[in-house]
Amino acid sequence: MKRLLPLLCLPLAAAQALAHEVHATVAAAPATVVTLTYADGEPFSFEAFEVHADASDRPLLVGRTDAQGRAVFLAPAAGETRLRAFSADGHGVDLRLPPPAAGAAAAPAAADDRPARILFGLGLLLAVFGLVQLWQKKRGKG
Amino acid sequence: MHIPDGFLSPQTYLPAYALAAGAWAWAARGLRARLDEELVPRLAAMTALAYGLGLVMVPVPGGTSGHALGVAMLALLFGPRLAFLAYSLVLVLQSLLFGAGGITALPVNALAMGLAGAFAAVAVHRALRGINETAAVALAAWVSVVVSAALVALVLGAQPLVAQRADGTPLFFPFGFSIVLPAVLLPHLAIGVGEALLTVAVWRFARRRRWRAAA
Repeated sequence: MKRLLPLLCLPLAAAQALAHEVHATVAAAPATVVTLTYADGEPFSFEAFEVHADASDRPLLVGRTDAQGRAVFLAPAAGETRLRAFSADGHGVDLRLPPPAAGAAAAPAAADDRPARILFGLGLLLAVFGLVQLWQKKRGKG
Repeated sequence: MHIPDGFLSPQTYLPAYALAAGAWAWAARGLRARLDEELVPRLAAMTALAYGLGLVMVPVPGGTSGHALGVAMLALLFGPRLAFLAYSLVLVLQSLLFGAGGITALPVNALAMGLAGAFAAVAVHRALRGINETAAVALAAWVSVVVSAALVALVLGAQPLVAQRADGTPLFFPFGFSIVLPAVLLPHLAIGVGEALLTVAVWRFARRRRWRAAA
């Protein structure tokens, strides 16, 4: 009987082994998908990103963008979500997204208005130098 | 190589703002005496060129992209002080309109590219122009890009050491020197070659028209 005692203890050991199992539950849920690209349209792919709830420093999720530059995550139901993405060479974004209830995730500046922004910036730049030129001429007369 | 918002800790960008404010004040000192009716339109044209160059993304091996700066041509044609002011204006526009570089990171970007890049270009050009003018201009532009990239990489790589969460993970830019330095520097060794070719072309254009060289 003494020899059988260790065998009788085996079920107890098996119960301990259950603690090492990982269980999976599969459920469909609406996710937020943020697509990140470089200015030339190249996907910001396989780069690190962090998702933070509101003002929390501790990330809810850390991961990598997929081949198409997408960061996919479940945003907290309330409050802003902060998405930070980094590449090792210093590219990236720090976005604040509205809560899912407020609608689709806000996109950063749309790529299709880029020519208008380029021209606007050029206009601003030349206006600054125009003012400098006027100031310089006024000084010359004074 | 423009550092975006959210990558730098306040321990980095606040002192950088103080330093940059001093540098901007120094660069603007005596501005009246240095400007004349011919120089302002030339400076405007070259600043517009630098602004445009920063928006033309060139694919770089490794899946990322880069762009020329135009700091060296500004520095060689107008001197480091005007180059620093002009390039700071370019950085403000790129940041506000395109998100290329952040407002919190503006002083670091301006000091690394606009100031250090400009001084590096002028120093190399002065040292080598007696040997060969074209080579001096080309090397000045290349060194300007590489020095700027190295400074940006050093500031980024220092972030995990500067600000951390309680568990030791980085609060801001997460990659250390061993990752950032090669990731930033290696593409810019190639980008610097493009910058050198461009700067030589602009330099020759300016020389043909007898623009005064400030360096």
